[in-house]
Amino acid sequence: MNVRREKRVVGAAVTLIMGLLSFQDLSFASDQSRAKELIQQTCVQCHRFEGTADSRFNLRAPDLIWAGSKYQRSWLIRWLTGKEGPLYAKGYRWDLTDVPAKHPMVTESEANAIADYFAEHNKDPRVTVGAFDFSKVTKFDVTFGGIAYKAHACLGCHTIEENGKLIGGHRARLCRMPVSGTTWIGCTGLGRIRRTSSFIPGNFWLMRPIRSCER
Amino acid sequence: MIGFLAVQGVKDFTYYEPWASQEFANASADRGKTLYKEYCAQCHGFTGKGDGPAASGLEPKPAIHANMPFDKLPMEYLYNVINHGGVAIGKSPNMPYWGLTIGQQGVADVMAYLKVTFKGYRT
Repeated sequence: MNVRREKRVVGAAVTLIMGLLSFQDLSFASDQSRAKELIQQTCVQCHRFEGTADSRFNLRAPDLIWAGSKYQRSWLIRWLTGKEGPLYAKGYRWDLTDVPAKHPMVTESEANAIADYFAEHNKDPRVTVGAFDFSKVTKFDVTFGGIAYKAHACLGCHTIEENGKLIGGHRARLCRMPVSGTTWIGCTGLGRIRRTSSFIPGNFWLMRPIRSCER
Repeated sequence: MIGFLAVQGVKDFTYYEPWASQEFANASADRGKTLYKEYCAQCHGFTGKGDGPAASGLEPKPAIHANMPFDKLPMEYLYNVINHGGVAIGKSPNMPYWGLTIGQQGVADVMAYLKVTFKGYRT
Protein backbone atom coordinates (compact mmCIF):
# COMPACT_ATOMS: atom_id res chain seq x y z
CA MET A 1 0.00 0.00 0.00
CA ASN A 2 2.76 2.36 1.03
CA VAL A 3 4.76 1.38 -2.02
CA ARG A 4 1.81 2.25 -4.24
CA ARG A 5 1.39 5.62 -2.50
CA GLU A 6 5.09 6.36 -2.89
CA LYS A 7 4.85 5.51 -6.58
CA ARG A 8 1.94 7.93 -6.93
CA VAL A 9 3.86 10.68 -5.12
CA VAL A 10 6.94 10.11 -7.27
CA GLY A 11 4.78 10.04 -10.39
CA ALA A 12 3.11 13.29 -9.40
CA ALA A 13 6.46 14.91 -8.66
CA VAL A 14 7.87 13.83 -12.01
CA THR A 15 4.78 15.13 -13.79
CA LEU A 16 5.03 18.42 -11.91
CA ILE A 17 8.73 18.81 -12.73
CA MET A 18 8.15 17.95 -16.39
CA GLY A 19 5.27 20.40 -16.45
CA LEU A 20 7.37 23.15 -14.93
CA LEU A 21 10.21 22.47 -17.34
CA SER A 22 7.93 22.54 -20.35
CA PHE A 23 6.33 25.73 -18.99
CA GLN A 24 9.80 27.26 -18.79
CA ASP A 25 10.42 26.19 -22.37
CA LEU A 26 7.11 27.65 -23.43
CA SER A 27 7.85 30.82 -21.49
CA PHE A 28 11.29 31.11 -23.12
CA ALA A 29 9.76 30.42 -26.52
CA SER A 30 7.12 33.08 -25.96
CA ASP A 31 9.79 35.59 -24.80
CA GLN A 32 11.79 34.78 -27.92
CA SER A 33 8.82 35.29 -30.17
CA ARG A 34 8.05 38.59 -28.40
CA ALA A 35 11.69 39.65 -28.92
CA LYS A 36 11.52 38.65 -32.58
CA GLU A 37 8.30 40.60 -32.99
CA LEU A 38 9.83 43.70 -31.35
CA ILE A 39 12.96 43.47 -33.48
CA GLN A 40 11.07 42.89 -36.71
CA GLN A 41 8.45 45.52 -36.09
CA THR A 42 10.21 48.22 -34.09
CA CYS A 43 14.01 47.94 -34.21
CA VAL A 44 14.11 47.55 -37.99
CA GLN A 45 12.44 50.93 -38.36
CA CYS A 46 15.92 52.39 -37.72
CA HIS A 47 18.43 49.53 -37.49
CA ARG A 48 19.66 47.33 -40.30
CA PHE A 49 20.67 43.71 -39.80
CA GLU A 50 22.90 43.36 -42.84
CA GLY A 51 26.53 43.90 -41.88
CA THR A 52 27.36 45.53 -45.20
CA ALA A 53 29.55 48.61 -45.41
CA ASP A 54 27.69 51.84 -45.92
CA SER A 55 28.02 55.49 -45.12
CA ARG A 56 26.56 56.60 -41.79
CA PHE A 57 24.69 59.18 -43.82
CA ASN A 58 22.69 56.40 -45.48
CA LEU A 59 21.77 54.83 -42.13
CA ARG A 60 19.51 55.87 -39.28
CA ALA A 61 21.18 53.87 -36.52
CA PRO A 62 23.97 51.30 -36.16
CA ASP A 63 23.72 47.95 -37.95
CA LEU A 64 22.79 45.23 -35.45
CA ILE A 65 23.84 42.16 -37.42
CA TRP A 66 26.34 41.24 -34.70
CA ALA A 67 24.47 42.75 -31.75
CA GLY A 68 24.95 39.52 -29.79
CA SER A 69 28.71 40.13 -29.77
CA LYS A 70 28.72 43.90 -29.98
CA TYR A 71 27.00 44.71 -26.70
CA GLN A 72 27.68 43.56 -23.21
CA ARG A 73 24.43 42.07 -21.98
CA SER A 74 24.13 44.16 -18.79
CA TRP A 75 24.81 47.35 -20.75
CA LEU A 76 22.28 46.38 -23.44
CA ILE A 77 19.54 45.81 -20.86
CA ARG A 78 20.27 49.14 -19.18
CA TRP A 79 20.27 50.83 -22.61
CA LEU A 80 16.98 49.25 -23.72
CA THR A 81 15.28 50.12 -20.44
CA GLY A 82 16.40 53.74 -20.61
CA LYS A 83 18.98 53.61 -17.81
CA GLU A 84 21.97 54.69 -19.92
CA GLY A 85 22.86 58.16 -21.14
CA PRO A 86 23.01 59.06 -24.84
CA LEU A 87 25.75 57.45 -26.91
CA TYR A 88 26.12 60.28 -29.37
CA ALA A 89 26.35 63.92 -28.37
CA LYS A 90 24.29 65.04 -31.37
CA GLY A 91 22.54 61.82 -32.29
CA TYR A 92 23.74 59.10 -34.64
CA ARG A 93 22.76 61.20 -37.64
CA TRP A 94 24.44 64.36 -36.42
CA ASP A 95 23.95 65.95 -39.82
CA LEU A 96 20.18 65.94 -39.20
CA THR A 97 19.91 66.79 -35.53
CA ASP A 98 21.70 68.75 -32.84
CA VAL A 99 20.27 66.83 -29.92
CA PRO A 100 20.67 63.17 -29.05
CA ALA A 101 17.61 61.15 -29.99
CA LYS A 102 15.94 59.23 -27.17
CA HIS A 103 16.09 55.51 -27.87
CA PRO A 104 12.72 53.73 -27.49
CA MET A 105 12.38 51.91 -24.19
CA VAL A 106 11.11 48.42 -23.47
CA THR A 107 10.32 46.63 -20.21
CA GLU A 108 12.99 44.72 -18.26
CA SER A 109 11.61 41.36 -19.41
CA GLU A 110 11.43 42.49 -23.03
CA ALA A 111 15.02 43.77 -22.78
CA ASN A 112 16.13 40.40 -21.43
CA ALA A 113 14.26 38.64 -24.22
CA ILE A 114 15.92 40.86 -26.84
CA ALA A 115 19.35 40.22 -25.29
CA ASP A 116 18.63 36.47 -25.36
CA TYR A 117 17.52 36.72 -28.97
CA PHE A 118 20.66 38.61 -30.00
CA ALA A 119 22.83 36.13 -28.09
CA GLU A 120 21.26 33.28 -30.00
CA HIS A 121 20.88 34.78 -33.46
CA ASN A 122 23.36 37.65 -33.79
CA LYS A 123 26.74 36.42 -32.57
CA ASP A 124 29.75 37.32 -34.68
CA PRO A 125 31.60 34.04 -35.29
CA ARG A 126 34.88 35.97 -35.63
CA VAL A 127 34.76 37.12 -32.03
CA THR A 128 36.29 34.70 -29.58
CA VAL A 129 34.92 35.24 -26.10
CA GLY A 130 37.73 35.11 -23.57
CA ALA A 131 40.46 35.52 -26.21
CA PHE A 132 41.84 38.37 -24.18
CA ASP A 133 42.95 37.10 -20.79
CA PHE A 134 42.16 39.71 -18.15
CA SER A 135 44.02 37.75 -15.48
CA LYS A 136 47.27 38.59 -17.27
CA VAL A 137 46.72 42.35 -17.53
CA THR A 138 49.61 44.19 -15.88
CA LYS A 139 49.75 47.76 -14.62
CA PHE A 140 52.03 48.52 -17.56
CA ASP A 141 49.46 47.10 -20.01
CA VAL A 142 46.80 49.44 -18.68
CA THR A 143 49.10 52.46 -18.78
CA PHE A 144 50.29 51.53 -22.25
CA GLY A 145 46.70 51.00 -23.40
CA GLY A 146 45.89 54.53 -22.27
CA ILE A 147 48.93 55.99 -24.01
CA ALA A 148 48.17 54.08 -27.21
CA TYR A 149 44.52 55.16 -27.11
CA LYS A 150 45.59 58.79 -26.95
CA ALA A 151 48.62 58.56 -29.25
CA HIS A 152 46.68 56.77 -31.99
CA ALA A 153 43.91 59.36 -32.01
CA CYS A 154 41.17 57.04 -30.72
CA LEU A 155 40.36 59.85 -28.34
CA GLY A 156 39.66 62.09 -31.32
CA CYS A 157 36.29 60.40 -31.83
CA HIS A 158 35.63 58.11 -28.88
CA THR A 159 35.09 59.21 -25.32
CA ILE A 160 36.35 57.28 -22.33
CA GLU A 161 36.19 57.77 -18.57
CA GLU A 162 39.35 59.01 -16.94
CA ASN A 163 39.38 59.90 -13.23
CA GLY A 164 35.59 59.87 -13.23
CA LYS A 165 35.36 62.32 -16.11
CA LEU A 166 34.35 61.62 -19.70
CA ILE A 167 37.13 62.77 -22.04
CA GLY A 168 37.56 62.73 -25.81
CA GLY A 169 35.61 63.57 -28.95
CA HIS A 170 31.90 63.19 -28.39
CA ARG A 171 31.16 61.21 -31.48
CA ALA A 172 30.62 57.89 -29.76
CA ARG A 173 31.25 56.42 -26.39
CA LEU A 174 33.59 53.53 -26.30
CA CYS A 175 34.81 51.83 -23.19
CA ARG A 176 31.86 52.52 -20.96
CA MET A 177 29.76 50.57 -23.37
CA PRO A 178 31.43 47.22 -23.79
CA VAL A 179 33.09 46.91 -20.43
CA SER A 180 30.75 48.28 -17.84
CA GLY A 181 32.08 50.65 -15.22
CA THR A 182 35.67 50.36 -16.27
CA THR A 183 38.04 52.91 -17.66
CA TRP A 184 41.43 52.21 -19.12
CA ILE A 185 41.45 48.58 -18.06
CA GLY A 186 38.78 47.86 -20.64
CA CYS A 187 40.90 49.52 -23.26
CA THR A 188 44.11 47.69 -22.61
CA GLY A 189 43.44 45.56 -25.65
CA LEU A 190 43.65 48.70 -27.74
CA GLY A 191 47.40 48.69 -27.21
CA ARG A 192 47.41 45.57 -29.31
CA ILE A 193 45.26 46.84 -32.13
CA ARG A 194 46.46 46.28 -35.61
CA ARG A 195 44.73 47.49 -38.68
CA THR A 196 42.69 44.56 -39.81
CA SER A 197 41.05 43.61 -43.06
CA SER A 198 37.77 43.55 -41.17
CA PHE A 199 37.65 47.34 -40.98
CA ILE A 200 34.38 48.49 -42.44
CA PRO A 201 33.49 52.19 -42.27
CA GLY A 202 30.49 52.54 -40.02
CA ASN A 203 31.10 49.16 -38.47
CA PHE A 204 32.65 48.44 -35.12
CA TRP A 205 36.28 47.95 -35.92
CA LEU A 206 37.67 49.23 -32.67
CA MET A 207 35.18 47.34 -30.60
CA ARG A 208 36.29 43.89 -31.62
CA PRO A 209 39.48 43.61 -29.60
CA ILE A 210 37.59 44.75 -26.54
CA ARG A 211 34.54 42.65 -27.07
CA SER A 212 36.72 39.61 -27.36
CA CYS A 213 37.61 40.32 -23.71
CA GLU A 214 34.09 39.86 -22.48
CA ARG A 215 33.57 37.04 -20.13
CA MET B 1 83.04 45.46 -50.02
CA ILE B 2 79.29 45.48 -49.30
CA GLY B 3 79.95 47.05 -45.90
CA PHE B 4 82.09 49.71 -47.50
CA LEU B 5 79.39 50.54 -50.06
CA ALA B 6 76.68 50.50 -47.40
CA VAL B 7 78.29 53.30 -45.41
CA GLN B 8 79.02 55.48 -48.39
CA GLY B 9 75.48 56.84 -48.57
CA VAL B 10 73.95 58.24 -51.72
CA LYS B 11 74.95 61.64 -52.91
CA ASP B 12 72.18 63.81 -54.31
CA PHE B 13 69.49 61.37 -53.15
CA THR B 14 66.16 62.28 -54.68
CA TYR B 15 63.42 62.18 -52.09
CA TYR B 16 60.08 60.77 -53.09
CA GLU B 17 57.40 63.41 -53.14
CA PRO B 18 53.96 61.83 -52.81
CA TRP B 19 52.27 64.98 -54.13
CA ALA B 20 54.07 64.44 -57.44
CA SER B 21 52.67 60.90 -57.78
CA GLN B 22 49.97 59.59 -60.10
CA GLU B 23 47.39 59.64 -57.29
CA PHE B 24 47.78 63.40 -57.06
CA ALA B 25 47.63 63.78 -60.83
CA ASN B 26 44.30 61.91 -60.67
CA ALA B 27 43.00 63.75 -57.58
CA SER B 28 39.29 64.50 -57.55
CA ALA B 29 37.77 67.24 -55.42
CA ASP B 30 34.36 65.54 -55.79
CA ARG B 31 35.63 62.31 -54.27
CA GLY B 32 37.44 64.42 -51.69
CA LYS B 33 34.15 66.07 -50.75
CA THR B 34 32.61 62.67 -49.97
CA LEU B 35 35.62 61.67 -47.88
CA TYR B 36 35.58 65.00 -46.07
CA LYS B 37 31.94 64.46 -45.13
CA GLU B 38 32.58 60.90 -43.94
CA TYR B 39 35.78 61.40 -42.00
CA CYS B 40 36.83 65.02 -41.51
CA ALA B 41 33.50 66.71 -40.83
CA GLN B 42 32.93 64.84 -37.57
CA CYS B 43 35.54 67.17 -36.01
CA HIS B 44 36.06 69.99 -38.51
CA GLY B 45 32.36 70.36 -39.38
CA PHE B 46 30.65 70.14 -42.76
CA THR B 47 31.55 73.72 -43.59
CA GLY B 48 35.00 73.66 -42.01
CA LYS B 49 34.03 75.76 -38.99
CA GLY B 50 35.48 73.29 -36.51
CA ASP B 51 32.01 72.51 -35.16
CA GLY B 52 31.60 68.79 -35.85
CA PRO B 53 29.95 66.61 -33.18
CA ALA B 54 33.30 65.35 -31.83
CA ALA B 55 34.76 68.85 -31.46
CA SER B 56 33.12 69.78 -28.16
CA GLY B 57 35.09 67.19 -26.19
CA LEU B 58 38.46 67.89 -27.80
CA GLU B 59 41.31 69.99 -26.51
CA PRO B 60 42.92 71.60 -28.43
CA LYS B 61 39.98 72.28 -30.71
CA PRO B 62 40.05 71.07 -34.32
CA ALA B 63 41.44 73.45 -36.95
CA ILE B 64 38.91 75.82 -38.50
CA HIS B 65 39.35 75.05 -42.18
CA ALA B 66 37.01 77.84 -43.19
CA ASN B 67 39.69 80.33 -42.09
CA MET B 68 42.63 78.63 -43.77
CA PRO B 69 43.95 79.46 -47.24
CA PHE B 70 44.66 75.88 -48.26
CA ASP B 71 45.86 76.79 -51.72
CA LYS B 72 48.70 78.74 -50.08
CA LEU B 73 49.80 76.03 -47.66
CA PRO B 74 52.82 73.89 -48.64
CA MET B 75 51.89 70.50 -50.10
CA GLU B 76 54.35 68.78 -47.78
CA TYR B 77 52.66 70.23 -44.69
CA LEU B 78 49.18 69.29 -45.86
CA TYR B 79 50.21 65.82 -46.92
CA ASN B 80 51.98 65.11 -43.65
CA VAL B 81 49.18 66.29 -41.40
CA ILE B 82 46.55 64.29 -43.28
CA ASN B 83 48.58 61.21 -44.06
CA HIS B 84 50.64 60.97 -40.86
CA GLY B 85 48.39 62.80 -38.39
CA GLY B 86 48.73 65.81 -36.10
CA VAL B 87 51.74 64.48 -34.19
CA ALA B 88 53.80 64.41 -37.41
CA ILE B 89 53.74 68.19 -37.58
CA GLY B 90 53.75 68.95 -33.86
CA LYS B 91 49.99 69.32 -33.53
CA SER B 92 47.33 67.43 -31.60
CA PRO B 93 47.55 63.63 -31.45
CA ASN B 94 43.75 63.66 -31.70
CA MET B 95 44.14 64.34 -35.43
CA PRO B 96 44.38 60.76 -36.76
CA TYR B 97 46.75 59.50 -39.45
CA TRP B 98 44.27 59.07 -42.25
CA GLY B 99 46.62 57.51 -44.79
CA LEU B 100 45.87 54.01 -43.48
CA THR B 101 42.15 54.52 -43.68
CA ILE B 102 41.61 56.43 -46.91
CA GLY B 103 44.76 55.46 -48.82
CA GLN B 104 47.00 57.66 -50.95
CA GLN B 105 44.28 58.39 -53.47
CA GLY B 106 42.01 59.43 -50.62
CA VAL B 107 44.64 61.76 -49.19
CA ALA B 108 45.15 63.31 -52.63
CA ASP B 109 41.37 63.70 -53.11
CA VAL B 110 40.86 65.34 -49.72
CA MET B 111 43.74 67.75 -50.37
CA ALA B 112 42.18 68.67 -53.72
CA TYR B 113 38.84 69.32 -52.01
CA LEU B 114 40.43 71.45 -49.28
CA LYS B 115 42.29 73.56 -51.83
CA VAL B 116 39.25 74.32 -53.97
CA THR B 117 36.87 74.83 -51.04
CA PHE B 118 38.66 76.71 -48.28
CA LYS B 119 40.60 79.79 -49.29
CA GLY B 120 40.79 81.74 -46.04
CA TYR B 121 39.11 84.91 -44.78
CA ARG B 122 38.93 86.81 -48.04
CA THR B 123 36.56 84.48 -49.89
